[in-house]
Amino acid sequence: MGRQETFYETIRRQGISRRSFMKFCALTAASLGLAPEFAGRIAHAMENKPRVPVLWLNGLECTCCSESFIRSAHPLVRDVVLSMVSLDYSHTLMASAGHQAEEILEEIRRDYKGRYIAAIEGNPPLNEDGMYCIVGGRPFVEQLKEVCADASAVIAWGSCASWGCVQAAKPNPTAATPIHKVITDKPVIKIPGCPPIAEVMTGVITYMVAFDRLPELDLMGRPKMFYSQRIHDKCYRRPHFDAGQFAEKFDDEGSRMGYCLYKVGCRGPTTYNACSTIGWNEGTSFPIQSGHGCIGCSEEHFWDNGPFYQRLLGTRLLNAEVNADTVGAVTVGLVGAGVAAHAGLSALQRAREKAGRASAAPVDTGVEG
Amino acid sequence: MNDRFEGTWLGGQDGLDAAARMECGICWTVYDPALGDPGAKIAAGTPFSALPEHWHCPSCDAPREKFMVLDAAGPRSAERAVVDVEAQVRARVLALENAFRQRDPRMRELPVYNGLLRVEAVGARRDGDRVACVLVSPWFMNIVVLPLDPARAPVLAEGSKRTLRFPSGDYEAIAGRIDGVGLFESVSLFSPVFEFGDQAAARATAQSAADGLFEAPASRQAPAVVAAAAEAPRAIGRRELLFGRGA
Repeated sequence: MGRQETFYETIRRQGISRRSFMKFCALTAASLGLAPEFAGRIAHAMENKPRVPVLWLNGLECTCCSESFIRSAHPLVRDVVLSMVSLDYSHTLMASAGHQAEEILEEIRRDYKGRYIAAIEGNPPLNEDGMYCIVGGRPFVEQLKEVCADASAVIAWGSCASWGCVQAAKPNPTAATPIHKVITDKPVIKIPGCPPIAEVMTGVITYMVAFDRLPELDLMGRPKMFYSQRIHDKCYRRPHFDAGQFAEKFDDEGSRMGYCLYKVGCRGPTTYNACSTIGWNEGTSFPIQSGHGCIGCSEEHFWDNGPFYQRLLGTRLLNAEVNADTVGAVTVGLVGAGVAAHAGLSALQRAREKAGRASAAPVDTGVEG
Repeated sequence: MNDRFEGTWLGGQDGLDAAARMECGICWTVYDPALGDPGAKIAAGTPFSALPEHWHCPSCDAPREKFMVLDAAGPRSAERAVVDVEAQVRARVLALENAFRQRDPRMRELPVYNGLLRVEAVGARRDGDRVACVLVSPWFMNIVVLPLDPARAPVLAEGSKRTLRFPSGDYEAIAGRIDGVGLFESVSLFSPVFEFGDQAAARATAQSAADGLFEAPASRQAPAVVAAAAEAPRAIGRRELLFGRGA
């Protein structure tokens, strides 16, 4: 096998300027919450490392993750990432089909054993021996297990792969099962969201390729750089929540004034995601900004968590606290001063980390548009 | 008064603290306002500046212009200014607490409310022309930053975000407005606040966050950054300049 083309060579061949390339590196470093000097390291890695093959498998899903991925904000991103990761197999995006396509899987598994990334969109149904999802004449769960066995890392795209999403909602007739319950012998990076934010997807892949390691994960297996904060923590309507100003129902005075949507069902206080920081469609907006509460699509069981337009109840709020990495803080009432001091400092730390990312986000640091 | 180069601020009494003790430049006799000058029938509590024209040094008869400030008036005024600023900080923090206390009843019915806590501002301190504290309430715990003087608040739209710099690092804060306080900027630490079993625990946590906010990470903090830390950075970007969104 000949020398593998580096990512930089690929994009140069595609006519992308070095200036655009450097801009991409800087944006990526920023979206990952890294200091500006990391842009240089990312650039260096991309110029010198051979591209990493990615096998993108689709199980039970709706393709919204792929759709989100190819619509990343920066115009270069999709080209960059698609060429960078050498997306060798993807139902949705590849030109080949049929047996020719399935052969690629075999080839990559053989030639790049332990050196490729398995990116999984959707999940396998386990009922009836997996007969509810057939790929190339075989149950998807078999393909999944084979591909993941030789992968260097497994990424679970979206809520389907991470938690199960709508196909796993009660009563879950096909026994749709999230990836981490099927692939138990290696860490699964969960990128929940329905779909996940494009910048989060490209950011995580870029980080893995550039630094040859997994991003730091929280207890639930999500990258801390994007999932350490709740929508509520960074919501631009938060001051209204703090001040007790709520929209009582849609179209009332409060909702016109842009008050907090908690009472009409917003899941912001329990949802860990970066929407209120990064935004959607090139940072244009996100659900709350368009006047609709967050439905908590990146949280486990989000379809079964009660009606979307009913306010959150205390028990769920409490669970949300325990879910995150704030477990250390949960016992503050019981243990005492040392724990309290630690809880205060770690909350400060969380607040600080996100600022690093936000200040370098596409929107200028000063005033949000 | 005369304008000789000696004595009490060239004889002028502006800026002389009422409590300043004065010393005769000839014989070092001290005039202490707290004692007055019983020999000249000057009541205790009379400031030096309020002494009658005819008053002279009780020991050597030197004219009052010969007296010099013993307890330097400069620091004393500064000290008084500090006291004023402290009062101002306290007033701002009190207003903040009151404003949120008034919101308490409407939050009480909601599931996000932790009835074991109450509104309290912890670790308030002045930082340049802003006041920073950690505000504890039954429904959130935030770092809250207020302009010291509400009349000179920065112009920020509600819900807009900007980065505030503290010795410990940069924090993205969201601007809000509440009756009785005006503009405030907050950085969320906890919300909801079910972690806390009582007010003492919440207060201790808030205190540690408030202290941590002003603690520079000693290992990597460059001195220049510490110096710059007093003020929120508000460099006008090229985009802001071109679109007239600056300052």
